[in-house]
Amino acid sequence: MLRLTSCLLITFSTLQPQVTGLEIMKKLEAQPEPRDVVSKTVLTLTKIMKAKERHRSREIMRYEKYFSEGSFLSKSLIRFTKPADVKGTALLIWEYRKRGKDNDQWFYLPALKKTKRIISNQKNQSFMGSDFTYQDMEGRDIDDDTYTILGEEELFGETCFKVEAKPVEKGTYSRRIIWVEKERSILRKVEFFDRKDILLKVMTIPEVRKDGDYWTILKMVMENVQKSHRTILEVSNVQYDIGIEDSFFTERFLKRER
Amino acid sequence: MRFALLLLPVALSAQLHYSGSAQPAGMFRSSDGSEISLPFRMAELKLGYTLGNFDIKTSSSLEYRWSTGETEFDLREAYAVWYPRFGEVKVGKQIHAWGAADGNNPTDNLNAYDYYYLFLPGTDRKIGSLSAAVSAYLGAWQIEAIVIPEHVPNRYTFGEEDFPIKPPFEPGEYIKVEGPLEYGARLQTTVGESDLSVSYFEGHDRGFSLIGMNYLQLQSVNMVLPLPQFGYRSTSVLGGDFVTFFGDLTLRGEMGFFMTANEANDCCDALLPLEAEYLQYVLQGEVTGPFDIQFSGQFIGSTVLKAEGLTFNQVILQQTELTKDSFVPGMGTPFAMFSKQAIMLSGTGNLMDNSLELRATTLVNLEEAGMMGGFGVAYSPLENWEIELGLTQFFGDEADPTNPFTQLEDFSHISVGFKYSF
Repeated sequence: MLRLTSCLLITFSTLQPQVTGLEIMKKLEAQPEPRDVVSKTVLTLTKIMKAKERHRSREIMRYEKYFSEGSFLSKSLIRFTKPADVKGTALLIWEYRKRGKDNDQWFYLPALKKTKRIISNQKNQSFMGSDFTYQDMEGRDIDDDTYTILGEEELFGETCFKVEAKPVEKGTYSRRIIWVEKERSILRKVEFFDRKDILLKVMTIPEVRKDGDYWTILKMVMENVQKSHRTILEVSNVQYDIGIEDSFFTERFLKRER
Repeated sequence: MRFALLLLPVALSAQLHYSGSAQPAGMFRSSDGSEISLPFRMAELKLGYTLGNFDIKTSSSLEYRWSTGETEFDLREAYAVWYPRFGEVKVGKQIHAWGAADGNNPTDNLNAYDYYYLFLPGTDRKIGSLSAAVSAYLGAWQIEAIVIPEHVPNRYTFGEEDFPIKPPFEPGEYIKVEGPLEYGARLQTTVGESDLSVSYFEGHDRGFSLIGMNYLQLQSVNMVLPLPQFGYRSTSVLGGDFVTFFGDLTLRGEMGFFMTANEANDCCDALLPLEAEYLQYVLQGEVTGPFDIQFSGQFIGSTVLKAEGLTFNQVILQQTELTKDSFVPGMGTPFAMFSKQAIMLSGTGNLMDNSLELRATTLVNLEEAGMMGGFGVAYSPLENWEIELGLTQFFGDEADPTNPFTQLEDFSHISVGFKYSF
């Protein structure tokens, strides 16, 4: 399972020469995952208008748990802590192992004191005004795409494989071009192309850090080149393997505003 | 010193959290621009304190009226929550929310409505009540049980000339509810792509109605003066709701079956026997259109299935048979006061990088003439600041002054306000 944007970790690995695109992705996929992770993330949304830039920010606490077996691949709970008008709003995502089974998503709206289940088709919509879609927040199954190596390129001072990923079935994007560090197998950039095969979004990962066994993405930038809009995601206070119970990822905790 | 050290870890793990807003606003008649003199919530504050598996939550507001400068503090909620492994336990003054539909929920009868805030969404238009609630989560099942030891009626806008939605008169006194204990339970599960719920609630009407008669003997003129006695009927509600998905469409449905009766007690010289049954239902469809515009449509309906008993005709000053037409529900969605069948359509879109929100709503009465149209704009020039502008217009039937939409025509208004959230 390849999580392009939701994963905060990418572990070290050495790729052999003459590898295929699929093998590069499998190396990425095969990295050990923590059992769970908690992080604070600040999203800075920037609208670029001619020479001006307008910034807005959101702060979220993100809790994720990964499963190596059973029905679920992962469960995550995202709670907004800033700004004030969305404080307490929370999103719960259950990602299933079964291929083709849509993920379940619920939204908690404190003003209504209600949890709303979200349709899977809404996953293509923007996540709280950012340049990430709900689907981007979830990730993508490795078998959902076919991969071709386009070459190698220097990025952030590292040599990267440049891999093209084309979806097996028609999806949100016609294709993606993915930059993966050759030596450490770390994801550093993704270009997303719309259904007309025009460049839509560019995601870059300029800052990473190794925390114990795991690589943490400290900064991620997603720019929508068609809308002149950018989202910068900065991660702090990351904690791995703290033993979050499965029951945390339920409506019960979704509603617990704090 | 030892005592202080023991306290320290507790203090460190505790968290105080708060949020709120200041939101001065005004309403002006769209017909002549004159001010509509009604109170509004000028400021709101939510305070919470977390200590391990316990939360204490409060929600309060400051009500203000421009025309008189009157202010009133309202502690809307104050309750404690315990989060055991199986779910949650809440005790105190609180507002509950049941049902799958947005805004109009026939199954949500746990709290009374505040008619001053009838047009606000969600919990903003409800009145908190002292209650205890237990929720348990068992796999795909959720069960919630609620006990309310007090009866809280709707807050009506009696004496407000500027607000037309209220009962035609204000009773001088109400018959005390005997045994005010109310209770309910809701069971929810997930079946495939659908969420299904059933619920039951046993309580008393939120709106008052005629319960019986007292007869005053006027010996000087050898006459008997009938005095209507008002109170709250005993009502049970059996409810069901669902959420399901068809392609891009989200479908939400909700229905409440109400059984109500005048309780036999010694309230008056003559109890007016009454038994009635009625249905309220909502079917809601939601879809996201071009430019991420959220479209929503609701079909809302109510029907009286049975109305048997006696009522008192104040024109002829005699008891008469109750009919389905003369029966007035005392519980359920307030929409029932406007129309027996209606369609509500709304659309919400965002522009300018989500700093400008546009909303349009229309409510069309399907049974007789009458509709409401609303348009709103909310602009956020800076983070946490918002300017709001709204227009609400009612269209009734000139030939029918009793039509609620005709009565609401003069309430058509422009609202202006700004909001600072913290």
